[in-house]
Amino acid sequence: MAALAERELSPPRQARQASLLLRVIRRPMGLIGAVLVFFVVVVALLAPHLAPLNPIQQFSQGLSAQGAPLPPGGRFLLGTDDLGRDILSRLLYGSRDALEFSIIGTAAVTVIGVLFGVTAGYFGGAFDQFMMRFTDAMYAFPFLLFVIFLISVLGHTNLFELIVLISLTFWPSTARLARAETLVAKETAFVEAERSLGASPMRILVRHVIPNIMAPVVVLTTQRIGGLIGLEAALSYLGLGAPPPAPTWGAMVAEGQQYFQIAPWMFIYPGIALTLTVLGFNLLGDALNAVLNPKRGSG
Amino acid sequence: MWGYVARRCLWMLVTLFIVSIINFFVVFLVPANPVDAIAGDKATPQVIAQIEKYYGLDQPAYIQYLDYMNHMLHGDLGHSYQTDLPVTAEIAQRAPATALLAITAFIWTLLFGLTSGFFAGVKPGGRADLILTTIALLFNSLPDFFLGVVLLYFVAFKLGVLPLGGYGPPPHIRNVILPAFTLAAIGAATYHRLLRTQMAEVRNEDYVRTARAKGLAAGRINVRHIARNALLPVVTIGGLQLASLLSGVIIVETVFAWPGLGQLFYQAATNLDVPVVMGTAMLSAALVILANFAVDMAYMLLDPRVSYT
Repeated sequence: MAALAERELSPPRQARQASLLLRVIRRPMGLIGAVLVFFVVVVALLAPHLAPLNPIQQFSQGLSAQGAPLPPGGRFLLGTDDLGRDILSRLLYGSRDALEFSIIGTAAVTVIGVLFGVTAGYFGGAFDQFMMRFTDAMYAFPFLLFVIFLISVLGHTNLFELIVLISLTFWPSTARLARAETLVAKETAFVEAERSLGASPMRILVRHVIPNIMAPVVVLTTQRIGGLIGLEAALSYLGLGAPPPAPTWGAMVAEGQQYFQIAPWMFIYPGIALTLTVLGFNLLGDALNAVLNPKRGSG
Repeated sequence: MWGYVARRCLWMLVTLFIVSIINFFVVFLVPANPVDAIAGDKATPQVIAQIEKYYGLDQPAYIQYLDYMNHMLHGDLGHSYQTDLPVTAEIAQRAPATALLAITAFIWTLLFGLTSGFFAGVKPGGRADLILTTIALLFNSLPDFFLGVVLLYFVAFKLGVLPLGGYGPPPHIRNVILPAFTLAAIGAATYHRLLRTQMAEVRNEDYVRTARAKGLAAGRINVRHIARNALLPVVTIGGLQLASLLSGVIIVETVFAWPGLGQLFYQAATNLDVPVVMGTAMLSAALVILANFAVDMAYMLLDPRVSYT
């Protein structure tokens, strides 16, 4: 009865979705986040049209008479790197790698993690034991080390391989969090009440447990999109990302570190681009989190 | 309860065993030929056969695995292809640098993160919350290697007050500051967010309202009723973070040329030095498994609602 009343009172689905975006961008932080993310996505889609120069071309005018990188200004708005390439164009193109990898990777990790964690936590017993030992093993298995090892062995990598490896690497942390929260949520009074009314496990999970554990999961997922952008950048910083001369932000910071005494702009601009992109996703996620979890107060 | 602890201990060993199998076969199945790396391009077939025999590479995979496990249980992780030193010696040589960095960073992380998370969580939406949460957001969005290079550039190069990376002379204090700060500033943001979020959530629980209704002082409610219960997910993240710090941090060690386990692994991986890769991977697996065990035990003490049967 209660469920029926609730359904009649809640607005139609479409209206709710539209108001979600509105409610997100009504928050100052949410607006900044949405703008940053929108900006990066547009840049990634339109990179070939926006970039003033070819990102991998080495311009002879791009180096000083002594062969040093040029500071920002003039034809090269953000300066050039040690090979005389245009930093602005490389920055714009670099957004593509970062986005593709992190968005697909995060989606895969979250779905796998929540499914495993909630099922294990709710049903408990032998299944929980098995699942938790399995996630322990998966968690303990140092996949990240092996990602590095495998890339070293193969000498190259492609986006798909990397996403599969990343999904396998990161889902256990989501699963453990979802399980821990489920353990607490399933002992709460309203779940017990539902159960005593004879609600099916499926209904309890979908309508009561999952909504109640989403708060920390959204926080973790939020951090993960940003985190995976950081990870892709870190791998390319180590020289394990897309091979040169492809422009990746991580590799640009690494090259910049070599020359930071004479050309600090080489590491500062890609680093800022990277930070703002991650920040955008974090802010957007936080605002979503605050809107989705009214229980949480002003957030 | 003790039965639960004993069962968890047993499972810990089983997990380690499963991980050792996965580890070994992933390394084994990787299409790398370490013999080429050891022998060089000009080696004759006889030399190659000799090397394969020396390292046991001519045996079938399961024999190699049993052999490896047998040696591991006797405290022998094999010899590095690169240096021919025992892997245990290689690890022991790097362990002090990693331990110094990991423990310094972990203490600073907790100190920064929990303090700021607590003060932000006490009054969500207040001035302290806005300032601290904005700072945490910025640090949370900074990639570690970028923060590292920025610190190297401004603090070490421009100001010249700290060394430009490296391990330095003992007791390494001046050298550990920047890498540990890099790790702590970024790690702390996670604790800040988590503790603050959880405190805001716990604040609405019935028992908090009861505590308030019966007139307890706000400070006491914040510490005993809210923070204590909000610590649950903090424990999970903390245990695992310490484990991953102790098994070496590849990126930050690379930025600062810090000679820890992360660097050891990274060099071994790029040189296809399989025994060292395997040894460091097993070490890090063991640390994570131990941390998971500790986290479960802590849950038992912190949340009486979690049943341990």
